[in-house]
Amino acid sequence: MSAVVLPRADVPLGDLPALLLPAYGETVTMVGIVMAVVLVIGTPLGVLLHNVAPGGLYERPALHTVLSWIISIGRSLPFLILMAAIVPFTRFVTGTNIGIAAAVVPMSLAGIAFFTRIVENALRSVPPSIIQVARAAGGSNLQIMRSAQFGEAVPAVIGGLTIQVIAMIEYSAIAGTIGAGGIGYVAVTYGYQRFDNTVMLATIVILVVTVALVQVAGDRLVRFATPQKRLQRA
Amino acid sequence: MISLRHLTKTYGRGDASVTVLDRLDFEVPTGRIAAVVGPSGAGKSTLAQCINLLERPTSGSVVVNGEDLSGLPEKRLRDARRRIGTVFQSSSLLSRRTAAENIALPLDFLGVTPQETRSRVGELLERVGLTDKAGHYPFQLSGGQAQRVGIARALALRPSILLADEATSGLDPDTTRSVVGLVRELRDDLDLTVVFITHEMDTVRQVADTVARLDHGRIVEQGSLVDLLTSHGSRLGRSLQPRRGHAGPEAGTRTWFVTYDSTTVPGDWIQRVTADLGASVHLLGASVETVHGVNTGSATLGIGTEDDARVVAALARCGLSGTPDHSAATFGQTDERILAGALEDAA
Repeated sequence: MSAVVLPRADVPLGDLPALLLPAYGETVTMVGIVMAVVLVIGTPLGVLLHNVAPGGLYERPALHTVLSWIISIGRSLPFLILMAAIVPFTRFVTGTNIGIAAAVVPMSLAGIAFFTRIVENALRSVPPSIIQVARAAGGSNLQIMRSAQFGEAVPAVIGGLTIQVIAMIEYSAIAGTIGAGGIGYVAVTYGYQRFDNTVMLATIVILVVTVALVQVAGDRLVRFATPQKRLQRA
Repeated sequence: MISLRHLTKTYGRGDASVTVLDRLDFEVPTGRIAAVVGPSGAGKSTLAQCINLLERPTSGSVVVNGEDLSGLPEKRLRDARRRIGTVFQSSSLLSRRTAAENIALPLDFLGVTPQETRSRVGELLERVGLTDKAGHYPFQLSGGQAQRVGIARALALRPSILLADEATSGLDPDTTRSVVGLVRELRDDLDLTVVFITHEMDTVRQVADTVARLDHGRIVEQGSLVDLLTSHGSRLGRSLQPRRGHAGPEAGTRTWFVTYDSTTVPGDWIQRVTADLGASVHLLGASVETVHGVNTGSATLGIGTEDDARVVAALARCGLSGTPDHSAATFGQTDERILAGALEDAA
């Protein structure tokens, strides 16, 4: 992709909303779709990964090793490389290799690997004695996973979810470089390729504010989900 | 009643296998509280996990009220677990559930209706004296209150067997006393059979009817608490006695270690022994308490006579057994003992 070098002509301030608002909408759409996919697939995968590990409810060390390796490979590739590497797969799934649809595929893959680890880590922080309590209380594996593992890990999972959303916003900006649209695309095409500092600054401000808001919301939710933090506000 | 027959638990296979429980036989009659003590690594926690069926024994059986539970298929094992209530170490409450919700956990798992759960939980809260704490989260409860919730939770499904697995470890002495009192009270009211696994000898003296010592995966010694405390041929009996420091002996006296060796030691035994021997008897240290209506204890004396045989006889007439301290290093030892005792008291 060789950009046509245009004479410098910054977008006038008045035109910024018309440029940025639709782009912001695209970013939100992308992150929203990806988060839905990640939650639906990553959560059970994380629970599975935790419980097939030694000491889990369904110990299967071999399966755990295989799963763990696959996820580690997914996590080790820089997102830009992953995105380029799986273009044939993306085209197979979506029929295109540009635009929102095409960005969602690599973002989801990377996001699932990321979130699986987050869920696994959150569940691992639940003391084994709590699981013993639930087993001794006559819980089935499903009941134990719901009440004891997930029930206790909710604040940690929400905290992880916050990190995940922020990472996905970042990924969406990287996906912008392959023409996925969104704030990242605007930042690259206007801010970087046309040296339009106004747009560049505006996109930075938007991203910073968005990330800060997500973090604040996440922190509030964690606080709400943790009785000790919710009730000891004094 | 619960009986363990030839219970064996082996981890690993082949050369790398470790036998933690080795053909262990143990029985607790209905309505009794049996303490199981033993050094760490003796297999106490494995024993606990076999009793509440969290672990399946490699061989042997766990029989509750005549039914062999350990051989059940996995699906039925879950139902069997409900017949044994387990009280875990104090910190084992679900942090995001209130006291009432923690107690309701086994009822939720069983699928009891909300109304029934509410009334059962109310009953249990009242029983453990925490009705006013129903809506409190674990972080708002003291160690003793949390453990009462743990006991109520263990009793939610009306088990006939209560297993306390280091249930008072980490609690302060007063709290331990109140938790132990609750366990005994519940045993009396509900005719529970209680297996109380602990490493704290002070707690054993407060709670147990019978005591068993677990070592290298076997019950190596057992008996009723009173018998063990008043018969000092037994290593278990000696280890049940509180160990305290004592004052140093005065010149011209010999140090004697004396233990209550019968259930009929007279209260004024020091006077009697003094009169009997016609020699001075100094009290250097003592610990006496009533266990199940029987006075038990031990004392360290400084006795102003060299005639050991007469001292032994005089002590025996009062139902005491005594051994003189002949060691040359008496003083060094004594100082250490005092120090150890002082540290223990401070802690």
